[in-house]
Amino acid sequence: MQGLLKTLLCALPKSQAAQELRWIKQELPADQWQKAVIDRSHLKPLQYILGTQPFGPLTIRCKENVLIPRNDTEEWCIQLLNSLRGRRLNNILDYCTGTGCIALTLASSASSPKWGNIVGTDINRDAILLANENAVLNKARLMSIPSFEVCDLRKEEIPKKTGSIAFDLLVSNPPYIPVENMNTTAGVEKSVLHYEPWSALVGNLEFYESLCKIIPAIHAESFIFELGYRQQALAVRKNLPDSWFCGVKHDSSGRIRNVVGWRHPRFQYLSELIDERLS
Amino acid sequence: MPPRPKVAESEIHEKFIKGGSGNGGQKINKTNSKVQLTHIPTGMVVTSQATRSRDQNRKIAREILAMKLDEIENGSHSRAQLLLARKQMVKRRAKRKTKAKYKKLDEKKAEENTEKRKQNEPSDRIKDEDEEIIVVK
Repeated sequence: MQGLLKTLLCALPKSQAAQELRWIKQELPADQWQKAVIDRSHLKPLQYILGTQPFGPLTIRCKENVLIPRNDTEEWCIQLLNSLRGRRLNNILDYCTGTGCIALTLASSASSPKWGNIVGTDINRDAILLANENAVLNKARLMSIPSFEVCDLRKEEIPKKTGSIAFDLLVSNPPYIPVENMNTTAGVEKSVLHYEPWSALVGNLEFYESLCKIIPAIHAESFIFELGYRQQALAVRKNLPDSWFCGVKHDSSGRIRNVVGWRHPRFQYLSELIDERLS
Repeated sequence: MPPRPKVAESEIHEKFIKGGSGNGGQKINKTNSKVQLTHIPTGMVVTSQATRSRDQNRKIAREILAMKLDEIENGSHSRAQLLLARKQMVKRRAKRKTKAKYKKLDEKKAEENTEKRKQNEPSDRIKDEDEEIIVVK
């Protein structure tokens, strides 16, 4: 038994190793512990080993080739949900949906039956399959059912299945780590570098420019995007008409995490998410 | 039993402890989700990282904080203390019951043993006599 902990300790700090071993034992049958611990000691993400990541009130299934939902994403999603509570909204579009965690969290809101369709898109077919699987898995907690389809953000493709071309809210967590920063020196974890899909990680201004082009195409009235660098927020501001209100949001560690914007004053309530205005 | 104690959200300052480097977002994939609550009026701090779910940890941390405050406020009449007292009482009662049960069993055994001894005594005597006879020979 001690051998398992020892194996984990090769790769993880003491308290984390003990905690993760406890979760492995809780969530996997005993005959899989050995393999799980060896995989983890090679830095395979725990969520790919256990198969899930909790996200707000949901349990999100995770599979290799699709990015694992992050704590930081969960944090702003829950805050967004609070801001949207009781509000009237037309359709919502989620670009680069991955596991579907953002679209599904929005669909778990008690207010969501009053909203229009929630649509999630991704360039990766595996992500769309997984997002659909997650919709089924979390069915009991969803107040409305989102739909998912393959769309290429860089080609500014717009989902066709729903038949709607107007979306009140555009949300996205696009790839935002510049390729020159894909290393541990720039703060990317080895586990992320070696095991998660680079297609969901590597990107910069081009994705935000594409998102800004989609805004008029879908008649979006408001948006919130996750990001990692200030220059990405500035690129959004630059590509928006001056009439739009736009600001940035920092996460609970004080790092810049989102750019938020809206056109019409009826979305003024989103200002509670912003801690710095961009003009 | 008093109801589960609760703390007003307005009296709580919540913090998510991330640990490690200042980096976050897509660069880092954290497996734990530690929640720290500070009770503003008293300054009491509690944390929870019992589960992988931040949602669950937030609930657990609130339960711990409420329980601790209730214990300070109500002492031996707090829910936690009353629960503990009841648990101890149940344990004592169970112990008493087992003790009584074994006492009874022991008594029964003792009774059976004396009866056996009574039955065995005559045969013992015969044996003794045989031995005596052998010795005499």
